[in-house]
Formats: sequence, structure tokens, C-alpha cells
Amino acid sequence: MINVTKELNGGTLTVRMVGSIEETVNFEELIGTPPQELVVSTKEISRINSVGVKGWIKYFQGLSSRGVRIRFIECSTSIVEQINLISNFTCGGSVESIFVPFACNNCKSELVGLFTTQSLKDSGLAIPSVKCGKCGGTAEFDDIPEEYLGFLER
Amino acid sequence: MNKTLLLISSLPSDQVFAAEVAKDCGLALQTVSSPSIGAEMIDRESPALIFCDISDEQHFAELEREIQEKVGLFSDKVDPNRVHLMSTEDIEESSFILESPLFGNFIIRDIHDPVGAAHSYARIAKGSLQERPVGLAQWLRPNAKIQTIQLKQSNHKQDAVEAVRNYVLAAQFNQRMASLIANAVDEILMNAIFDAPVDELGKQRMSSTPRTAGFALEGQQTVEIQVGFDGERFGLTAIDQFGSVEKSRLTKHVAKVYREDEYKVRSTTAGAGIGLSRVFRDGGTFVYVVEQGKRTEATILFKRTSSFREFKEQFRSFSVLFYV
Repeated sequence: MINVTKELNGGTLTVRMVGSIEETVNFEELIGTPPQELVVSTKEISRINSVGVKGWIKYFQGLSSRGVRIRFIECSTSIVEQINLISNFTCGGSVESIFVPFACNNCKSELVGLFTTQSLKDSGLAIPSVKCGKCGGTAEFDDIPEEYLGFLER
Repeated sequence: MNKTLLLISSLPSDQVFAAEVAKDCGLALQTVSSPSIGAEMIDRESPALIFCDISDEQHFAELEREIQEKVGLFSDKVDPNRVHLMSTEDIEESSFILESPLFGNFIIRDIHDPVGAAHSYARIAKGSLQERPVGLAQWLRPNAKIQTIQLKQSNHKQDAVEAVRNYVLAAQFNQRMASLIANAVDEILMNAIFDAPVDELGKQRMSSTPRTAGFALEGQQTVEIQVGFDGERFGLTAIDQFGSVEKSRLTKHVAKVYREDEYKVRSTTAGAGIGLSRVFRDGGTFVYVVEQGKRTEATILFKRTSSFREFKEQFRSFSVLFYV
């Protein structure tokens, strides 16, 4: 079940999704037909099941074939996993920014940091350590680099 | 049946792994590197368990040929439930095993910790030795607390998934691990509810039923869930009363990847066809026990680790144990 907030600005519709994407999610009903451009933020999508993936691809492929420009921003870790697992998950859209997971070496907190895909490419996919917001310790990237950032090398 | 574990491999890490599994299973280890000698030993000694290195397709083809010549691939001496195939590569890179009559268990080597992997895998190996392994408890340590839940309605699935997610969070799995486990649970429950029911001819009854459909899960359509945690590993078993899983179909689904191939949306079926592949790639142990025409138990096991990276890199195996 997800909640979607929409903001229309000229020819661009921005949608922000919150929740988990599964069989009850109907993108056609929740988002409808956007104008020329659709910006999708999935910052707060915690998970997506296989039927959710099917619905996602069906909807975004439809938009893409109608000429809508799709931009994915603030992709959550669960969405990045799907982008890596399924070659056509973005349906021709561009992935502009993703959340990168970190774990604090000291307090073991889970953190995420937002990176643009361009900045990641410019750095040669090197992810710097960050400061833990809870204890001030050093937090390091917590995933398998070649898997999590694999889609940037396709 | 002999009290031995026969290892057909020349890799030192396989020997370490198999020695530990043999110890935990109370079996003596015999190691050979040649498929020809391995086939002779199978014929002569009927080992309780057979572990084989399948890193090389030619090597595996030779093993199949030797077994066919000396024992017969469908002989009682070669029960696929007791054959454990080991590779360093993922299952999609070992697709030559999928149609093999030898396929029962697939192991991705843990070259960093073969001993730890062996202790964890020994439970699967012991299960494969049983006449009919039943229930989640056998796959976890003896201290595990197991809860059993009957799913009453198909549309209670999401509530069950969320409950499991909260359960694993309470067991100190981190948020990402919990999401990933919740997804795996979602997929195996969806399979038990919608894919397991078949008619008298074995045809799936609900292949086009929307996954949002609400109906009572009673009679043969009963779905039971067993959930447990043993302090190290979380496990969940989904049980249906059909036993309708087809081995070749299941293994093909698990082995299919879409990293390079395009995923095509099929509107003739309500399911997505990608769930099981995701479950296996999300890490952990995946076991199917199928009593044909009667019952299927699908189990997932995930080790709790201190980081998500370790979680993704944990030891993985996939077993399909069939009983007629």
C-alpha cells in the first residue's frame, strides 16, 4: 500500500511515493496520465514485491511509449535493488539520484545518504565515508559495491 | 545405505566443507577427484550423501556419463535428494545442472568460511537423509522457538508479511534485512496461496486470479506458516496441501535473471513470475520439500549479520527435495 502526493508545475508532474508497492497498488489510479514530464521520488518506498514490479513496469512502459519523459529521483535502497536486478525496470527513464546505505562503525546505526548518479560516476563510483548523525562516528558504505552501483556501469 | 559422505572434488575448500558436514551428520568422509572413480564408489558402496564439485560443465557432464554407465542416472543408488552440487558461481551460471536427474541441492561455496557454512548446511544435509523431512524446526538449531499460524483469508497475506517484518526487527535484524526478508515471505506466501492450487489434471487453478482477490483459505487450500528464530538464523516455512510444484519449472524460475534480459509483462497470468528468482538472490537458504500431490513446504532461512553487506554475502543454497 502506498500514498502518493502529486505536484504539478507547468509540464512537469512530480510524485512522491511512501510505503510498500505490492499487488494493491494501481499506478494508473494513483498517478494517472502525466503531462510531458514525470518526476518520481521513491525516497520512502521500503519494499516492492514481484507483482508490484510487474505493475510498475507495465505503467512506466506505457508512459514511456506515449513519449512521457520520466526522471527517477531520490531512489530508495529497495528501488535501487530492483534497478540492478531488472534491466528494464526504469523503462527508459533516467535515474538522477539514489540513496546510498551506510552503517556506523561505532553505534551500528543504519544511515542513508543522497547522491546524484552523476556525482557517483564522476568519482569513479567511489563512495566516501560519512559522519554518523547519531554518535558522530564514521559510517561506511554497507552493501556490495559492484551490485549496488552495478546499474551505473551498464 | 553406507554411512559415508562421498565427495567428488579436488578443491581443498570442498574437503574442509564436506569434512565438517560429514562430522555433523555422523558420516565418514571419502574423497575422490575423478568422476569415474566416484561413479564406481556410488555403485559399490551406495554412500548416504554425495557432494560434487560442478564448477566445470565438462567435469559435470563426465560425472553424469560415468554414473549413467556404471550405476544408471535413475538408479535407487543415486537419489537426487541426497546429491549436493557445489559451485562458486550462482545458479544461472550453472544452468547445465537444472535439467539433470542428479539435481537436488545446489550450494554456492563460501570460500571465506567453509567451516561456518558447513555447520549451517549440515542441517540441510541431515534433512536430505530423512525419509520425509517435515517442518521448520529441523532446519534451525534445537533451541528455536517456532510459531505456527494458519492463514484464514488470501488477503490477510500482507498483514502476515508485516507481522513477520516486525518479528525480524524485534530479533535485531536491521531495516534493510527486514524489508528483504518481508519480500521473500511475500513471494513464498503468494506461491502457496495462488500458484499451488491445481485441478485433477495438475493445471493451475488460479493463474489468472488477481493477486488482490479475497477468498477463504480452507480445506485443501489451507496455508500454514511456521516462523522461528534460533538466535542466529530466522526461518519461515509456508505449507500448502497440494504438492503441485514441478521441479524443472521451479528451478527454471529460480535460475532466471533479468539483469541482462528484459522482463516482459505477461497479461495472461496474474503473477509476475519473478518472485522466486528474487528470493534466492536475496541471500540465505531456500528449501523446497515436496510430497507430490500432497503437500509442499517452502522454507527460507536467513542468518542475522552485523552488516547488510555480510547479510548479502551470507552462505546460500537451494534445495528441492522430492518425495513420491
